[in-house]
This record gives sequence, structure tokens and C-alpha cells, in this order.
Amino acid sequence: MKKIHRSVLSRIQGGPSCKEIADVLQSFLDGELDKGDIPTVHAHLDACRDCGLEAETYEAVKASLAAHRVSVDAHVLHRLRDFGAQLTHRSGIASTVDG
Amino acid sequence: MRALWRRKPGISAVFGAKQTEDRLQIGAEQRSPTLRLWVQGPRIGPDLTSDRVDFGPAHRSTRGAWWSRDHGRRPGRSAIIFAMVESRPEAPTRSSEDPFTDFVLPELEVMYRVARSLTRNPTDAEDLVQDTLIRAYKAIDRFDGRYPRAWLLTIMRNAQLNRVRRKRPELMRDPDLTMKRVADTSEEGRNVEDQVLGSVFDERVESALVALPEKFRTVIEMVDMNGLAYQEAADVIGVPVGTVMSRLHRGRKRIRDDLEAAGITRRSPGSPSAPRRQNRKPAGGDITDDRSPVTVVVSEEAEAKE
Repeated sequence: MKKIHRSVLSRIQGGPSCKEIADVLQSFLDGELDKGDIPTVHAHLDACRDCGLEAETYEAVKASLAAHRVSVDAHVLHRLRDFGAQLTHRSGIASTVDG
Repeated sequence: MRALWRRKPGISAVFGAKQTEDRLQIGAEQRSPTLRLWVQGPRIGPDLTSDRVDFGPAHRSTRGAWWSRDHGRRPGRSAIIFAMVESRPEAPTRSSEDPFTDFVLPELEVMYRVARSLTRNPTDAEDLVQDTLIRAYKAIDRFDGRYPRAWLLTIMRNAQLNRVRRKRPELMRDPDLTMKRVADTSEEGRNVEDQVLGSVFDERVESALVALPEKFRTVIEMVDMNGLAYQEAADVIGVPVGTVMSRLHRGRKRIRDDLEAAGITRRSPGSPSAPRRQNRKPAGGDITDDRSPVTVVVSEEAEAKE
């Protein structure tokens, strides 16, 4: 996470502003935020209605996008697992790809 | 554990770059033992363009570390090179008697999903995963047990570039075209029930997604649909993690703004629309400020990337 956000979030008396929360909100929702910042963001989202609603909106968008995942054919996965297992059981393998 | 390249405080300032006729040298302060240099620029050469290049062991000097590499640039071509240094937190090495079975095979489903995103059709995707498995099998002895998914996705990216280069060499002139969709397959894979019973919200998200620029849509696919972490998406697409963040956040924000315009967000009807947020400039484009990019004009003719 950007260092500047860490120092801003911890330095501002009274907690970060809604703009500062907005800057890190998506990283927070993705679990990519520095651990030290997580309680600060949590506290703000609990206290601030607008930011809390914004977070809910992004969560709903992410859930909807995740539901659009391509469905994976079980047969394909089975074939690939077999292929992988065969590789480990072969002592040598002909080179079929460019190096 | 997520594999995230993170810039540690006080580390990794690129302080110089020099170019000789055939070699490009980048110098950076290094305070971490695991430091990797990333160089981007158009027409640098097939192995340096828009890709994360591991420059390998650095030559130590009093100032820090220097990397050098044959840049393979044709004479007379130009480039602006952005050199960014990223350090990765050390993950413990994991040992295994059968690393291929223990580290690679569990990632098959993710690999296949990513391959579907890269190739846009199931047959090519399966071929790509098989290519990747073969390469990974050959290289497994060199794998240190850290971040298997990131390692595999980097291999997959190289395998895909190779496949495209063999099939359609004209696409290699612009590496971003290797990610270009041949057809919009956003409907592919959705089951009939979703299509018939899709909620207003889902349909709106879908249509907003389809309307996004290609680059935003790709990272959203990788992170939100294929479940990759930021760093993993960066490895497979071949851009810095800051670029993934920027594109992802901006892409999602556009979807969110589209929902708000359609009146179907969760924001309460009377609340202010937060003009500060809407007027906020996008975060510095794809090169984020804290990475101290060094612009090296390799020749007099300057061209900007992106």
C-alpha cells in the first residue's frame, strides 16, 4: 500500500477524511490494504453513513462481477489433472514447446 | 498468503540509467536482498517490452546495485523507459518432495480460468494450460517454493506471448494486442438461468462492464472474476501492480457511477453525491508517484507509453 496513505491515515487527528477513505476503500475491500490501516478504515466505515454505503455498493459490484465467472467444464479440469499427473510420472519429456 | 510487491519505506530509488550501444544499465539503491527491476518501454526489444524483466544478480557498487542487460533495440528506434524497482516481502521457502504435485496441480483451476481470459476460447485455453504445465515441469527444480501462483502465471504469460508470436507475428509489434479480445465473449459461460433471471443490478453491472475500455475490463476479469490478487494479475498481464490497482479501481468506479446514474446504488436518495470524490483526479495514470519513475530517453526521438 502506498506509504503516503499510511502516514495520512495515522496522522490526521480525528481520523481520516472521507476522501482519504475513498482513496483506499477498494484496496481495503480487496484485502490488499496494510494491516495497520484496517482498523482505521473499519472505524470510519462504521461511523460514516456515506462511506459505509459506498463500501456496500462496491461489495455488491464485486459480488456481481464474481458471479459472472466463466463456468469451468469439469471434463476439461479432469483432462488437465491427468495431463499434469502424467508429467510427474514420466522420466523424460519430448520438447513440444519452444524453450 | 497474497503475493504483493510492496515498496518498503526508504528503499529502491532508481538513481541512474545509462545506455551504451547495446546495453541498458539501471542503477538503484538497494536495501533489500530480494529486489527486482522492472523496465517498461515500447520497442525496447521483445523480452523487455511491457514485461517484468528480472535483471538477475546485480553488480554491486558503493552506491547500490547496477543491472545491465542487452536491450536488443534496433538502431534509430526510440523509447522512453520507465524503470521502477519493486521489492517483494520475503515469503518462507516451502520444501516438498514432489513440488510439481504439491505446488502446481492445486492451481489448475485458476490457471484454466486465467487461460480462458487470455485466449478467449476453451480449446486454446486448454492448450495454453498444457504448455504452461510443461514449462513449469521443466523449471520446477528452479522454483523456490514461494508464491507458486505468481510463478505459474508468469510462465503462462510467456507461454501465451510465444504462442501468439508463432501464430500471428504481426501482433508482436504491439504487445498490448496480445491481450486484445477477438470477440466479446462476455456471454460465454453464463448459464441460462442467470440470463433469464438476472437481476436489474447484475444486468446493469454486466452492461457497464462490457462498455469499459479493454484494459480496465481485463484487470477486472483477472481480479474480480478469476480471483487473482493484485500481484498475480500484474504478473500475468505484465504490468506493475500499481497499474493493476489503478485500472481496477477506475474500472470499478465507472461501473459504480453507471449504477448511480441508473439510480440503483445503495446510496440513500437524499445524500450528497460527494463532489470531492467525483472531481478527484484519477490516481496519476498508470505510473504511480511513489515509485520514483526515471525517464530515460534512449534516443532523441521521444515517444510516450500509454
